[in-house]
Amino acid sequence: MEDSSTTNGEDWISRLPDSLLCHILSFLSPKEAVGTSILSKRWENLWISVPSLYFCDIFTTDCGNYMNKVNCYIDYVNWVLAHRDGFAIEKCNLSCYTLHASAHLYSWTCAVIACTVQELTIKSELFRVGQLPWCLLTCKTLVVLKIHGRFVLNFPTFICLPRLKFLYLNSVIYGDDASMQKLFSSCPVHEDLVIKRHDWDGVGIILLYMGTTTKYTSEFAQSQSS
Amino acid sequence: MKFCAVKQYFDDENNNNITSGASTTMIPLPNVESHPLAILITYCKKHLKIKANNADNKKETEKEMEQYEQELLKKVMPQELTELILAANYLNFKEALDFFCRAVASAIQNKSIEFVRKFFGLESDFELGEEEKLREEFAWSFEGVDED
Repeated sequence: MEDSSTTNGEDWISRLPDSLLCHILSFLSPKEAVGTSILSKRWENLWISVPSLYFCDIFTTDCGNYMNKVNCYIDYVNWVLAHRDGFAIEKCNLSCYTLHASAHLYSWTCAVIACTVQELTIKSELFRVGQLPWCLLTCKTLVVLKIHGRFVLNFPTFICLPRLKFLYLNSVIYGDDASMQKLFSSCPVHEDLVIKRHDWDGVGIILLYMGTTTKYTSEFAQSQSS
Repeated sequence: MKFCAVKQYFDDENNNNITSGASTTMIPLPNVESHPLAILITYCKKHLKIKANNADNKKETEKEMEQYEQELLKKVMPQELTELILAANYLNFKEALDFFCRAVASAIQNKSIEFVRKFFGLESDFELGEEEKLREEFAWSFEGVDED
């Protein structure tokens, strides 16, 4: 852009409505968006309405401060989700690469679901990750769900994802064949279903019944020890 | 058609069975000034041309578009962004809206509050002590920002 110091002091940003200011904030990280709350009174709570949230705990290597950084990161995510106060989230990405942060994925997923999220991506590349909450599988607002990582999908008695159009499951661990069956018979995925499996995921045979409009992609990876 | 608001106008005309030659139809755009409209039309034409030239190569399209967008931004004053964002929003032209909003976000990314206020032309209207309290509460969000 032309030199930003030549704005001549004119307040040009305030002509935009809140919705467009939030759209601008959606291109910043949640941390940077929160930082704008000090600009002026109008900006104090704008960050709460930003429709997309992206959290990722990849830090630059600095071993001396590593645990401090991880703990600060956990506090920061807890703080942002708590202050969201149920305000709707359109899109959320929860990516965890550290063991300490991933222990909080369960509660963070619950908090995001409570904000009527429509597109949710949960990712971890750790060898072992915990369970995901049941509320994930009864969320009435989810349109896109992507789970990537060795999460254990333990299914509640009742599964209901009425608006789900896109389901992507990569390296997920199921209880048994019946669990996977239950998932796909309970939630019709109307457009796109992608399953990437491994031989350690707890499933032997899967039977899928899909609508004619559903695009289905699958991959199967066998471990070297099998 | 990239200008979804204009497309809607044509669709509505068809639905009302109003016959008029496309070349003589006048479409009212009361909320868009001529200067930002001209930039958006050029942006749209360039986008379509680059896409057509690289029909099978998405990466090449993205690379060329990025180069064009960088050149475009060099000629745009910050204050002009308001009109461009409002016009793109009114015309429901998503690609341009995202581009200009992203440009504003990039300009303030990782910058201090003082820099961002100066860039936007904002002044603080907090009471005495209010701002200090907020700075203390959100101190973690200012870690690692650039010095002005």
